[in-house]
This record gives sequence, structure tokens and C-alpha cells, in this order.
Amino acid sequence: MVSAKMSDPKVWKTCVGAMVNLIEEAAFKFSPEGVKMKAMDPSHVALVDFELPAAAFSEYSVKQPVTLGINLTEMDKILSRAKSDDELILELDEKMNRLAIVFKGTSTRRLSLPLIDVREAELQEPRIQFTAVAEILAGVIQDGLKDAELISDNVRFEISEEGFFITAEGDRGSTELKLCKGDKGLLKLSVKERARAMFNIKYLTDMTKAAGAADVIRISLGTDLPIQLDYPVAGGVGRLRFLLAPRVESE
Amino acid sequence: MGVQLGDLVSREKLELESLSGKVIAIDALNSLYQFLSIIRQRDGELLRDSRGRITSHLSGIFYRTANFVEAGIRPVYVFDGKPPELKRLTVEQRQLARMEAEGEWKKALEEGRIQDARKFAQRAGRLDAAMIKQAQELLNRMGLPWVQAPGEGEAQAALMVQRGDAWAAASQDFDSLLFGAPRLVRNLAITGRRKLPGKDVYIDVYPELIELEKVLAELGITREQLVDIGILVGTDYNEGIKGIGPKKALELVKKYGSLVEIVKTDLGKKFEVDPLEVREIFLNPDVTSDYTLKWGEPDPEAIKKFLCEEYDFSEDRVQSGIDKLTKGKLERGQARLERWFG
Repeated sequence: MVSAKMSDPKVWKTCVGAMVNLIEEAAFKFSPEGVKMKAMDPSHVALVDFELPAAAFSEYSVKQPVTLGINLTEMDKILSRAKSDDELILELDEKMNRLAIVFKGTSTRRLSLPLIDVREAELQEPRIQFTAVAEILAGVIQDGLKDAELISDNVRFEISEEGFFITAEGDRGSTELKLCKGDKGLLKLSVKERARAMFNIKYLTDMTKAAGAADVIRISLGTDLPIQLDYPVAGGVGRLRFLLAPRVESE
Repeated sequence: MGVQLGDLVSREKLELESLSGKVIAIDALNSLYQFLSIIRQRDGELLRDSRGRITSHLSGIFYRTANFVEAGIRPVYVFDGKPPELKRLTVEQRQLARMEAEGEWKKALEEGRIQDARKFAQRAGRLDAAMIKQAQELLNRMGLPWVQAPGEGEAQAALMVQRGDAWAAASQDFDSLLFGAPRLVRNLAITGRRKLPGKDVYIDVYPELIELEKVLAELGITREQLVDIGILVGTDYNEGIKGIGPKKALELVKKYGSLVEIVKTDLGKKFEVDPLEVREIFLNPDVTSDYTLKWGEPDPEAIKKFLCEEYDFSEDRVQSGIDKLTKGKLERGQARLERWFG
């Protein structure tokens, strides 16, 4: 059996909201230790790595490991029906082969969605030597991306001793977002070596739009390497990590 | 069709995705013939619009190319110009064979022999000037470049690879190698599940890569000698010598060093056309460096107008093709994560 309860639906909702733009179907692995999901988008440009340990739930009961295939678009729609003071319960309905999503508040609402077969690819662990890390307010990144979007499809991220930069360059002009040491938006900066790489704006927007403006996103960067974005999940016990491959000069 | 070198040439299986970001110069007529032969209804009849006009070639150009673009490939189609004098004979023979097959196909269909009908229908695929024009028109609307070769499309594609404007030439025929293409990709247009002709058996077809340098090194010959082998076996421009297959031809070329020497022996009398003239076609083909490759935006409205309004394609399916074209555009110059795995 699978039954998992959260007092705040926001955690699950935000995570699914961030994944749904990249992957349509996901295989969630429920085990006694917690829930895991890891998948690449169809074009293998981005990877989602999600983990929510049993401790992140107020009640959690999973006896046997089981993998549940979920259509994320459908789940996202259902989660949008949650009220902020609702309790959220995920329950496996083995007989019907469905996952029930229960909102418990002024009333108890039970919305179920069918389980689907999701092809699971064995994912290897990427080996990336990041040389710089920064912790930044999500709102700042969202602003930098929105600026850049006006003039280009791509954006350059840079982390150096001086700070964090989002720049874009195109026929229609240029944009620059600067976050220096001491600025409010920059919470932490750690640089072994200056790092810069170019990324597709649409992917980054999809990865960051579910975050609240005040959420802190941890960015790991290396020159011309994939970017890693880490979200704080359930007070740091969980993990929502994105990897995005860089743009490269065409061969 | 084309030179039969299959036995001599070692190939490497490819994933479509591994061609991501690369320019591939595709032999247009070769692909169009493939489409006419493969893209059929169950009884072997070609796809047609409500006015009876053939649309198999357009279906192929649109959906297959959309798949390439989605995989990140940058395709450029290269169209044949005027075939060399010597090829006229093969061109006319092919046309004759097709007309005969057409008669057989209609007969088989009347008599209810569906299997036979499909077989003959495949041979009956004929490409006319209007169909080529339509394919070019469609490519324009898809925002994809195409090149008009002065002579053979494969020769032109080979030059484009040599100049570094394309990464590989794509064709089913090995002739591209004789024309000096450093890399040849086969099975590009027909990748996927394929029914074996005349049988109820399906196989998975993968693209394969053939590298000229590797082939030459393995066989221990030069490109000129590879051309000589081709001519001994037979090309689109000459019959070849009866009884000489690729292996025998390789032996001969190694023994005599060159076709120029072989021609001086008794074998020289067995050619029906001057083999050295054929050699010239491969070594000094009619090609041009006056071409531009520009990848533009697909024009969804223009594509729908052309395919859906003019040729009765399903709007839903065409839209999914358009989505692939737009998505692929996004991925140009985009690395994939596999690069950092393991």
C-alpha cells in the first residue's frame, strides 16, 4: 500500500509544477525511505532529479517499493485545485489502478487519476566539475530571464569573484543583470574558478517559473558545462534538482 | 541502382540523435524515389489527393524531414541537374522498367493478387518534373535549403562534404563514395521499422555511417582505385564486366594498379562504353561551389496552405510535423546531457 500525507500541499504542487514543463510522464518510485523521480526531457537536454524522504511527510506508509507512472499534466491540473490550508494525501488505489489525490480541509475531496506505463530509462550519473556556486533569489533569476527573452533565445550565465551575471546579446540589442557581493538577491557566493556558459532561455524559464520569488535557488556552474539548479524542498530535507545542457558553438 | 559495393564496405550503426547539430547533404532524387517506393497504401497504391495527384513524395519530404530536424539534424537536399550523356541509357532503361511494372501492377490488382500488386507498384514509382518542383516548393515553406546541382546530385553533395559545408552525404547508393564524399550516411530516409519487400517480415532499419578514409585503408587502395572497382562491377554509366563482382574487381585493381592498365588487357574489350570516360565522370564531375545554405524559419501557414488545402493532408498530422520543425530549430547548437554521462 501507498499512503503519504503532507500538511502543506505547496511542496508537492511546486515540484510537480516545475517538472511538468519538461516532462509529460513521470515514474515516481515510492519506497519505505521516500519518493524518488528522475527523468530527462524527450530531447535529452534537461534532467529532473526529485527526492522527498519519508521525513518530509507528516504521515508516510509504504510497505513495498512500487513505481507509479503518472501523467504530470493531469496531476498538475488536479493539484491546482488544492486550497492553501488543505492537507494533501496521496493514496494508491490498487484495485482501480489509480492514484488518489485527497484534499482535506473544510471538506474532503478525492480526485483520482489513472496510472500509466512509463518507460523508465536507466539514467547514468552525470560527471560534472562545477567551478562556481551561487545562491540567488528565484525572483532575480526570473527577472534576468524575462529581460533576456526580449532580445534573444539564449542567455549567458556567469559567476565570478565579483558576483553573478545574466546577459543576452542579439540583433535586437543586449541585456545585463548584475548581482554583486552584498546585494540582497545574492545570498552566497563560492568561486573556485570563474564560470560562464550559454543556455536556452525557454528551458531555464520552464525550470524556474514554479519557484516563488522569495525561494532561494542554488546555481552550480562550470564553463561550457551544464548548469545545475537546486531548489530548497521541504526545508532542505528534500531535493529538486535540474540539470540543463549548455548551448555550444555549432559544429 | 548505383554501384554495387555493399560487400566491400564496412559500416557503423548510428543513432539519429548522434547526427544532431550536423549538416547532412541529402541526395534528393534518391530520397524521393525511396518515398515513392515505401510510402504506400496497403494495396500498394501511392498516396493521392482528392484529385488523384500523387502525394507520397510530399508526405516523405515533410514527415521524414521533420523527424530529422526534430533530432537536431540540419538537412540540405541536393537535386540532380542534367545527367551525363552516358547515364541517359540507364535513365531510359529505368523508365522502361517502371512502365512495365506499372502494367503488371494494374493486372495484379485486377486479379486480386495484393502481394504482387504491392511489389510491382513499388517498381512503378515514377518521378516527374512537377513532383520535383512540388518537393522544392515544400522545402521552401519549411524554411530548409536545397541545392540545384549542375550534374549529379551525389557529386555535388560529395563536394559539399569535402568543402566542410556538410558533415556527410546521405544516399542509399554508394556512388557518393566514388565521387569522393568523406562520409556517407545510408538508410537516413528509411530509418525505422520496415517491411521486407514481398515478405510479411519486419526489420528495424538504422542509419549507418561509411567513412571513405576507413574504407580505403581497410581495402588498402586509393580513391581512384575504388572508382576503378566500381566501373569493373558496373555503375549508373556502364554495365560492368559480366562475372566480375566486387571481390574479383578488388583483386584485379590491386594486381594491375589501375583501370588504365586493365583496359590494355583482354578485359578492356568487354566494356560496352569507354571505361576511362566513366572514370572521368567520377574523378572530375560537373559540380559547383556557387551555392548558399541558409536555414530559415518554417512558415506554418504556408505549409498548411500547401499540404492541407492543396493536397488534402490531415491538418492535425501536419501540425505535429510543424511542431517538430520548430522544436528542432530550438535545438541547433544545443548540447545533449549524454555528453556528461559516465
